[in-house]
Amino acid sequence: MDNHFDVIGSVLPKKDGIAKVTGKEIYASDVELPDMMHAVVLRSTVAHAEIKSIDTSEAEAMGAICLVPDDVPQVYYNERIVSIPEKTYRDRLVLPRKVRHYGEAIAAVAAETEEEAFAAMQKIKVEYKELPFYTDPLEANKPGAAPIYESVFLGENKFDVVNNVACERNITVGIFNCCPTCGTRFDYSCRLDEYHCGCGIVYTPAEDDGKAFDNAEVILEKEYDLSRVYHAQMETKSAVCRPEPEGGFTLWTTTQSIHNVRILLGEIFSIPLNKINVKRVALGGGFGSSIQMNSITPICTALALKARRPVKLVSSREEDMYDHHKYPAKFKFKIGATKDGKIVAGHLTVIVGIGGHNVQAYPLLGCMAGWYASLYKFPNLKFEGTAVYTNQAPCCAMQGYGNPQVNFAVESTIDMLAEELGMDPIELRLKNYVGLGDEFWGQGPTVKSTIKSCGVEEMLERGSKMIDWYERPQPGSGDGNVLRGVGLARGFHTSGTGGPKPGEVIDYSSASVKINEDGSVDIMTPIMDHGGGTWDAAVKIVSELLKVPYEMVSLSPTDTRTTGYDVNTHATRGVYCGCGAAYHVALKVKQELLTVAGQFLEEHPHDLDLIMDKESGQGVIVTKGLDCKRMTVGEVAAKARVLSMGTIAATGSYRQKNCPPCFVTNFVEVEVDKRTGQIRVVKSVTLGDCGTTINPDMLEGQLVGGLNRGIGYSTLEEASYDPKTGKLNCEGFYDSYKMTTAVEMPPLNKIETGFASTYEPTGPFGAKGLGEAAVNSIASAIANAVYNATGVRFTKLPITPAEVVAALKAKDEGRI
Amino acid sequence: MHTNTRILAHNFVYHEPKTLDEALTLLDKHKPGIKILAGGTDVLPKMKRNHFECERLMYIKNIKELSFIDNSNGLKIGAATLLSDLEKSPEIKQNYHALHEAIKAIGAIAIRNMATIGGNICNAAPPADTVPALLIFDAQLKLVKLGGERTVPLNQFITGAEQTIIEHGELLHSIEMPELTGGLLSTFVKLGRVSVDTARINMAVAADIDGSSNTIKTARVALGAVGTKAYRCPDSEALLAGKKVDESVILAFADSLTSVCDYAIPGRYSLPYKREAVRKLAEDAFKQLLS
Ligand SMILES: Cc1cc2nc3c(=O)[nH]c(=O)nc-3n(C[C@H](O)[C@H](O)[C@H](O)COP(=O)(O)OP(=O)(O)OC[C@H]3O[C@@H](n4cnc5c(N)ncnc54)[C@H](O)[C@@H]3O)c2cc1C
Repeated sequence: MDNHFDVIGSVLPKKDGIAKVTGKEIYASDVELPDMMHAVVLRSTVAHAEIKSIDTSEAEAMGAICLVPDDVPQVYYNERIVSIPEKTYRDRLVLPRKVRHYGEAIAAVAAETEEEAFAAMQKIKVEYKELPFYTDPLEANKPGAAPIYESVFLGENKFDVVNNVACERNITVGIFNCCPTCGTRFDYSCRLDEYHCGCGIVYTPAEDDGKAFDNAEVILEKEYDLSRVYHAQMETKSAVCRPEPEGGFTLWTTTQSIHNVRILLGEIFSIPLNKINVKRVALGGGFGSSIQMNSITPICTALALKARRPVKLVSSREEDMYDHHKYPAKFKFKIGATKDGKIVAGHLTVIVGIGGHNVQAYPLLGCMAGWYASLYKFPNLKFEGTAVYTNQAPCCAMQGYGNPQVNFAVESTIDMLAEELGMDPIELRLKNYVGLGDEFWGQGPTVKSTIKSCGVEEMLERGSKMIDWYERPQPGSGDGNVLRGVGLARGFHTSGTGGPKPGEVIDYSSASVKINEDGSVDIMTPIMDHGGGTWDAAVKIVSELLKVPYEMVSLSPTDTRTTGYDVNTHATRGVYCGCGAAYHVALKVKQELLTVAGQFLEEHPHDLDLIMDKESGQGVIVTKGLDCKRMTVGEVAAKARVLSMGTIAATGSYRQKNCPPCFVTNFVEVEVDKRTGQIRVVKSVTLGDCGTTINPDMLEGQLVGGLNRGIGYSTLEEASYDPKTGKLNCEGFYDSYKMTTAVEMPPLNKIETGFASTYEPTGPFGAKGLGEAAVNSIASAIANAVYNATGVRFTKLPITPAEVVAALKAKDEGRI
Repeated sequence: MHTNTRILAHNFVYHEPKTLDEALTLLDKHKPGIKILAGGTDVLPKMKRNHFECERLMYIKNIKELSFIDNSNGLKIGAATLLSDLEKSPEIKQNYHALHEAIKAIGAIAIRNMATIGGNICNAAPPADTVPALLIFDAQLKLVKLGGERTVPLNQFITGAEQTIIEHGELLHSIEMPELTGGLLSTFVKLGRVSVDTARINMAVAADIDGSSNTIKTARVALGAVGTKAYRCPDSEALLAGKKVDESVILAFADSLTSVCDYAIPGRYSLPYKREAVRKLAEDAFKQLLS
């Protein structure tokens, strides 16, 4: 809508582009300090065991500093402090006394070189008492299974873990959980086997959908199974920690939130925050794996504090692959609709195997409920989520945070429902989607806002033309060995975790903006950039607002000391919330600038305008209406210095009070080879709705990157475990962990992207997010296209060649 | 976990001989604890996974005598010749086309710049890509040791998955293929999960086709990754001989390969997949041969 921008929407050189392509950028692992030691971590070779003893005497005799569970503060923490404390589960120590997954850190060693540290580490002797272990949540959940935890903390309360259930979440809307006889509603937040209603009836709520589906003329019940996946971010987790002479320490580490790392380390090591400084260094990608403080960060810190010397700890790829995965999910989904395609009710059940630590399973389940509730209008909705501990790498957010999983279950089922109803899948979606004016659950049931911008209809219509939707084949109608099909899915993600009322999730950000003495600008922000252009967006927004040319606006190197708090660059909130703060602070600077200029021009600031003078390429302050007096921003700043009037600057914090959805619509065309079972995406049309496009080229990069990971998620990626050994089948190696390369992508001219023409009234210059939305519905679209091509529905990801061959053979032989 | 991407968990003595004599002396002196390192693209991943142990490691890529391509009489290749050098050879591309295609199908460029053909053979992985191609060209391997040498056919050299008849103290010196007669066309086809991947199935096919009658005079077929080692498929070869090239012969060829799979890996988990997928390779092979 708003297309009169000077900087926003222009393709400009990335601020960190030259440093990155010339190898000059500093990541945590590039930090070198005088007198620095190097550390390695000793990791478990068993999946579940009590540690009976750790003998470090030989390693210490070699001159190494060793860190064992006895050396670390006995503080139970949760590495992710994005949720409010009452809703945060705490189950871990810096080094555990019990091993809960293969590859878990149990001790660490620092020495003069990494090789020496490694040699010393090999001399450490560990005695285990091995316990039964579980790589399947259904097994771990069985009564009588060996407990992975006896008890854990929720907030300040300790509670016993039963059947390895880490947490549960039950959410209902509408007439679910009302007594079938008298209609009285009961509290469903805690699951009950039996419910005794006041009217005398006793029944089992978990299995009972009450009257919710009574008006449904068509009911479908389907099951889905989605794999564990590794983040595969480029940078492996690294940290450098330097103890400071006056106490405390300085830290350079891989993270998506410097402030949360500081707060957590302050709590664990009982050090006031003014004595801890976490430096903002470049981040080599994250996909969500550094939302929480990385497991090696407190280990490195503890080692440095023990050694009283700087210590560097860089994870290897194998270690990283054993450190964090995406949440796998098993769904049951029941949906009911009327014959004319109105959804009546939905009941989604999910079980998630979360691995050996509970990083954020409770908010995950809430978000899963939210993604489900916000895709289509379910007048009656029920969600039951169970997170179960397993002896696997801890799961954490990965691009979409439960959204790709839920999307796959819902969007596959919606396609089936459309077929059942004899209705076009687009029509069915348009009848039921959650859009303008509707309620959106941006971060589970406690963070909701009203949708104020929505490109769903526009994108479905445009996309359907771009892919020739109405010319697609009838499902499974092709013959020959290579079957072609077209599929569609739509999705979204939230932009940030703000709502009119703060819910369970903390969300605000800070920024400082100052105009230098020549009119150039420095921005200080605590937000991180995963590589998607968040920092460039901050520069563009401030540049646009203050009418200072892009080249004259820079980001200062910052740390936790020089910036206000920011919760995290997660939840697709970088632009909307992080840069939103920069926008609001820059507004104050603009006010200050006009005030100072007003004094020089002898005009009331209200009568002044700040505009971009196209000829000089400078921002100028002019009198409103008639341009009789003018000064450039540089002239004002210079004069302010000479007259000792002070720096034109502002600092502030800002909380977004909405969580607008950024919508995405995916159309894909696939070819399925009946003989090899290979699925090739031969064309992709992806349309995104992110409000104003601030970095159009970066946005396109996000969509294409999402396509790449989505192809991997649907056809290749799987961090599977060997149930006999508890080890990853790929053993932490990329030659065995298959991912989509450029070669598996559709040809360049068949990757089409576009953006909806929307404007988000609550966002900085109309912008909302996009990053996570880019991946959320790709796998669903691919599976729908595979169905269109083959007539066979695949409900388990990844869809492997062997499964395709087997299923198509069964179909040809009339077995399915 | 006792591995680390940057640090090998084992200690060993490292040798870098410059001549073959030096190398054979070292091998003889330190057997059986000494092992050979060529490009390391198989050795290093194994070491990092703790699947390869040695007291000593001898690097052979500095030995000039082991790196050559000689096409004066048939084709002779030094065992330590880089795959990327072989890939660039116009003679191999022209006359031993299946080998050219097999090499191009290995890894990505970075791998081929490091890896050697001898390493691919001696590693003896069932999906090793050069092996089916070398089998259809009747490759012989020259093995040398201090004070001796022997030549063995490739199909006898590899005995199973990662198993060969090489003895301690022995080194693969070179690979020899007889001169090709007639107008033998050859090609190599491969199926992996992704493009840079070890083969789920690979296959080399050569055929001498009479242009005027469009009839296959003789054919050679070798299949890899179906079973513990690659092998020639005599039944499929016999089936093709004397046949006109048309749709039906390609289908019959595909049927014969399915039977080969059924016979080679009965009851194996991967059989239902491979017996179907191999049919696509049959078609691809003929498409490429005739193009
Ligand atoms: C990412 C990646 C992708 C790959 N893709 C493929 C692929 O697509 N197809 C494929 O076939 N392979 C593939 N490989 C495997 C490997 O690259 C090849 O097998 C390669 O040819 C091995 O050669 P090398 O020189 O690196 O052998 P090395 O690793 O040095 O040695 C391999 C083995 O052979 C022995 N050896 C080497 N030379 C001699 C000799 N002259 N005499 C006696 N013994 C010897 C060694 O002791 C060792 O046991 C891949 C590997 C990687 C890491």
